[in-house]
Amino acid sequence: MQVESDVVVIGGGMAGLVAAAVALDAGLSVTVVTRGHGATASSSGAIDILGYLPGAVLPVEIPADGVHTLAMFHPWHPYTLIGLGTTDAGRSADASVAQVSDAIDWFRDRISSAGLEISGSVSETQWPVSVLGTVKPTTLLQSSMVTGSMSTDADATVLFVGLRGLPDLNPRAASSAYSEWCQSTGEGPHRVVGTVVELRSLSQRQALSSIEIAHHLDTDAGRTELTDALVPIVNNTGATHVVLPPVMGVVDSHEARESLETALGCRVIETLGVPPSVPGSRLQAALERMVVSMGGRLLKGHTVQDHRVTDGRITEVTARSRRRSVTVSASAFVLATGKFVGGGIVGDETGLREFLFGLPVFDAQRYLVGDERPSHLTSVRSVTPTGHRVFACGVGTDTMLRPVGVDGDVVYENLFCAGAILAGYNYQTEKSGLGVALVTGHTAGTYAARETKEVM
Amino acid sequence: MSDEEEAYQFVLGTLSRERIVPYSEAELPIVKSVEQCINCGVCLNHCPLIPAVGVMRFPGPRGIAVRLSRSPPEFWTDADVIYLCTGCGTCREVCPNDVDIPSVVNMIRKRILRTMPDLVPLPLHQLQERVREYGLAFEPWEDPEDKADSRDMRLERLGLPLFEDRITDHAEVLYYPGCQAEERAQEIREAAKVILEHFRVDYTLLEEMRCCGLPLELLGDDEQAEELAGRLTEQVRSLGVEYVVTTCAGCTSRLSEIAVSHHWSAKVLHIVEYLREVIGEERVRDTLRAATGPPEAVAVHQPCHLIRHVSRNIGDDMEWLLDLIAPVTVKHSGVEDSCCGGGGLVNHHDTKTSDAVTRVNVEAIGALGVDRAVAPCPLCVAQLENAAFRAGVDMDVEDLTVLVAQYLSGE
Amino acid sequence: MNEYDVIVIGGGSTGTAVARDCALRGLKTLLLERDDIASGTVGTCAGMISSGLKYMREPHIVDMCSSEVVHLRHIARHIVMKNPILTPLIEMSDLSSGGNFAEEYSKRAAEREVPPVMFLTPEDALKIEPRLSPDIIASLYFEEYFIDPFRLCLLQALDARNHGADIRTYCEVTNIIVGQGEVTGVEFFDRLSGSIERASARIVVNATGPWATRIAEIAGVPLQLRLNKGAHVILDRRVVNVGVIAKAVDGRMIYLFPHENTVLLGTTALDTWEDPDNLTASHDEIEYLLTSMSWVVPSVREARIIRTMEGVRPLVAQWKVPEDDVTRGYEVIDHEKDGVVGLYSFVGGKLVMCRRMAQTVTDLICQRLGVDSECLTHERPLPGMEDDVDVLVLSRQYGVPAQTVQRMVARRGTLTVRVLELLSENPSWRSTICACEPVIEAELRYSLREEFPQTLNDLRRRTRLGTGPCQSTYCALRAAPILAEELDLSGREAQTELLRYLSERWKGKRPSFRGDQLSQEEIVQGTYSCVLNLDRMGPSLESQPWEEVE
Repeated sequence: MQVESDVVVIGGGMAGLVAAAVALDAGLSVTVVTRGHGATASSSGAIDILGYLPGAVLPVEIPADGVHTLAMFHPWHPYTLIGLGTTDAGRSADASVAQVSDAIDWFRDRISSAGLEISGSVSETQWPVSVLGTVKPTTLLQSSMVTGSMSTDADATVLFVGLRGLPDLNPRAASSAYSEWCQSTGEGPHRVVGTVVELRSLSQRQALSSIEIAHHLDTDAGRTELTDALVPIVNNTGATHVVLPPVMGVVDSHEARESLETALGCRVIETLGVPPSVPGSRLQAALERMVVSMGGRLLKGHTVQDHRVTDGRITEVTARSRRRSVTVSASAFVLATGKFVGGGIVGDETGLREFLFGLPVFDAQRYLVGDERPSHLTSVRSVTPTGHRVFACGVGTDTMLRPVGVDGDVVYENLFCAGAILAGYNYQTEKSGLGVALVTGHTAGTYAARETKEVM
Repeated sequence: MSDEEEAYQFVLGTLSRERIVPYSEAELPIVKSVEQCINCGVCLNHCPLIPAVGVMRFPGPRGIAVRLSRSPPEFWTDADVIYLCTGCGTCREVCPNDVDIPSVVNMIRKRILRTMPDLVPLPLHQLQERVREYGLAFEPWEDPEDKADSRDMRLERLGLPLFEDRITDHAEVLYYPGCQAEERAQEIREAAKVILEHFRVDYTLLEEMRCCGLPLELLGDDEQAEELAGRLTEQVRSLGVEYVVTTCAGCTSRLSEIAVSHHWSAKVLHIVEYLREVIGEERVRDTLRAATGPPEAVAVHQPCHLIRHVSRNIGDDMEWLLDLIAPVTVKHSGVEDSCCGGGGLVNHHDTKTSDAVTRVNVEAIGALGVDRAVAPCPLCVAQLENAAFRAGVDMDVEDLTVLVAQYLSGE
Repeated sequence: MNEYDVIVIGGGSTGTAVARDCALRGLKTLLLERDDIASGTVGTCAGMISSGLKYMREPHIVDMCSSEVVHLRHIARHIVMKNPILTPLIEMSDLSSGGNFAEEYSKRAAEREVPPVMFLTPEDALKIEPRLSPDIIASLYFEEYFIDPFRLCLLQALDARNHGADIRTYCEVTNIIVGQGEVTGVEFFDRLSGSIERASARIVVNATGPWATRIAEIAGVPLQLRLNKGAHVILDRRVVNVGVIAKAVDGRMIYLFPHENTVLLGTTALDTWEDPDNLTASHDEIEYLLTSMSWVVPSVREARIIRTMEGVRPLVAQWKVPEDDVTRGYEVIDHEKDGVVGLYSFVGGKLVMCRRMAQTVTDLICQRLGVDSECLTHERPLPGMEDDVDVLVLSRQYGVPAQTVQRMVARRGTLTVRVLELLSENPSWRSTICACEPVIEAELRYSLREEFPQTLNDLRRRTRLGTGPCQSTYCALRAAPILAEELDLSGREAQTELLRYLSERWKGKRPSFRGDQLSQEEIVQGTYSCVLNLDRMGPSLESQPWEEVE
């Protein structure tokens, strides 16, 4: 089957769907071809812009300042590149900050229309809490995860709540880790306690998954059951903040939070998600709703198998579903297929390569690493502040996010890259994953729309 | 017997004692796909069974993928979970690595059927017997007159005309109604004929309708399924048709699969696809533009076997088709692509589980307040109807083919 | 100071077997292991309790292997399984040298309840294993038994403990006390408490495998070993229906064995002077194995590699012969000849012989101590083997999925019931902690209470927690708090444990890091660094030995 579209986006995670929405915003028709869920759906559900500068020990306190510093000293970082794309080197750091800030403002608005409340800004780092009781610096949070004053208020009493049958959050371990962290910083609550409650109507199931509970908490009955179990404990402990596992509703965590807070009379917070992450799925679903409600065509379950190039421009891609194939022609294309989880970059013992177009793979310093054995791009220790070099590898682009070849020249004039497929940053140690995806998606979508209009 | 033959027989004996059913050549790609599972669990968040029955009872697609890792010797331990899968394919669709869980389920079922048939739910044995005896998944009517009466009653209720069956030895299109439309929901078969007649399609029916083999594939009897596939392949070849048109989601996906594996030159299309791609957007638009009637609001249900086992595009085709019918307004439930619960043969042995899956649809559609819900699949229609009835929800469900035929014939 | 008759150093297959034998014969026994049970060489083997097929040149060893297989099946049937094995031939010269090996093997087959070596046509072989190369001209067929090496060691240790022995893990011997030419005891460092302790005994058994020379050094006696390292590549899931043996690029025999939920591809054999604590598989070893096996199983290269493991064989010190020609027999060295009475060391030996090795040394010990006692280790069943277990009945009775019960039964036999009984008071312990295996919370709690694990890695050896394709990506996070709760660790300590475990897993994953493991590792890093922030806020780890070399 043959169809036409102004813009084709390959990849349906944060970067791809944001790029699609930006192009839709510009009044264009957009087709998103997506194979499956990638890293966005497995994410914590928080949108990190920048938590740590590469090599730095201390966290970034003001994300905007962090991005500014980054853009001054790390020339190949995607945040730096997009700044350079709009202005000259002297002012590009400011441009980077402005683009990050614009993308966030745009996104908060759009995603809210799709039913997901996001809070935070580039002027302040937030400290959400994890299922282990650790904390991390991030920028944008689903409103259900906002800890607010919890981490600084000495008079607060924090209650970590485990749900019987759900092994994801162990309140004893989480509360002791959180409490030890508070002691080490000298700030924050002095009282941290833990408890386990049972959701009666699910108790016959004995072992539970976070998604079942999230479905349950989408209902009034489920919320009432949880608050009934919690009220006496909150009263006994004088808890000012209740921390729940990441289960606050499949679709709408905002409503769940409000209803729980009203019933309990204290703040209720869900932790960051870990895979299989309910908040990650929630974000993924909201992004999809955003694109569909704006009139985008979402071709799920489709793998791009072929493409056609004329005069250095991609003219069409052919995608296969289980039993059919469809060819989509367009004026501009966005490549947002992610890194390894998304499938954008693959590797074997002979090296790394970009999966769809065979683009060369670079590391964070723009060295060509396509022929490196992946194990050579790793460190001996598993989890370290420097991370593994391999996770900063990806496609190299010009300042308009168009992929470049080994010679540094643009490969396809009308292909724009976004998200984790880009080289130049290690989102795991920087805490910048969904942020770079959002901002580069926003930028790539803008360029793709401009490209389409020029052709028209 | 030669030494080598004797040796082989001995080895087969050991394999059987150790419960090893070797993977066949054809199964290797499925096994390979499971190797790509990174346990991320995205599938768990989307599997319709988990909210319905809980992860304790059904460990989800990831659990099934894990099951395969204990193969070959321990398949039998999965009998308590493997028959709960409705085969919707949502897991495969959201999977970052395209792990083919629905095929894994069939593979495991196949091994249990072969090595420990006692663990297979009884109704599935009965289904297998039925197909063996009648070549159909449903027991045929004893009296052809009763069958005709039932058909006429349905047509009358729906205001659809009856056309003579066309059975020729050469045509452009083979219309393949599938077991359910052949024996139970006969109005769908007749509605498809109305549509084909309306567009003057050169079509034929089979002289004797036989099951597409999907139920057998789902219960693990791939030998009998293959027999049916071979037989149908011969018929399609001898008829020399260009298209095989179906009205059932399961048949569409199964026949599409056979078309590839048995190298058909004929293309398999659901009637919705056939209308858009072959009859053509223009002709269909011109025809349906004339459709009249009191305005009605419909909710759409997209069958898994079309959107996830064939192509998501068919969901678009459905919307396109309904949009053309002036009196019809489509209302969106937000869960139109959620599994109806009737697949995977679960409805044959565990209606409670089926209905628990259907509940999401019934509640969402019920809340829309539409005149009827439509789905282009007799199985989905029956499951939604029955589950709504059992849940005490008042809901009209119609097959999309019937709805289109109604507007065409009302003209 | 605690007094014992015998102190056994080393908690591997031999050490635990010795402790068990001594305890069963009524000797007061202490076992000291500086790490965990089965943390050394035995933990890196394929678990084959070999019929001795490979050692046809040494008929007495073949006899011993065969009778030991019979004994192990008698005492530990619940952790023993049978693997059919194909040896496909691409050309006639692939037939192993030695000529009459098939005959030699077949002589002893009946006692092990396996068939004699048989020949299969290529067509039949391909039906059994479609992944074989279509170019094969014939295939040999035979059957071998495999045991869970971790469980074997642990059950021997538990059985010893049940019979009065003290089992102390994380206790490293720092001195062997010798007075007037006789052993009087040992001094050891308890790594858990940080204290130095002493224990006295007239007998000390050095069963430390490749570390035996170090213990000998401490005691001031000479001991030679020929250390030989071997690598395994571990492939995801049972991608072959049966075992496959093939001739490698250099003419050695290598194998592909289905093992638990993986397939093991092994092994290499290289003389080594490396620190046995400090070994990882090299790229050359991985390629050697893949290239060799791909001649008969071409698709092996596309298979997903989960990780590698590298172990050291403590061979008898025969020099100037190829490794393959070194005897697979064992020797018990009585260091009386070196002027230390009461000290015995093991060199050589195979997993399958561990019980026999223990019997030999225990006989000597009894003789020296003047104890008149018969060996019972080949008669008494190991814990859990008392009866057959009906998986489906237990599954229904305790409301636990059949597969979960089946896996537990494969590790624990009748003791499974003890785990499941925990559920009556704690119904929610049905939660699956490790989905790959699967392992439920009750089994972890049981193991933590009854099987003295100290770390997540120890739990892995006891329950197979985290041994699947994802290598603890998800379960470590859930298991760490359970471990912390049972062992009363602080939040910080639990995080340290978590990071240490991830590093230990990474050590084996790193050499073969490629393919789907790239995305698997992205999830690991995404979880532990990106979300949990343990890279920045976690405790900084002390360097582990393997981390000293980049």
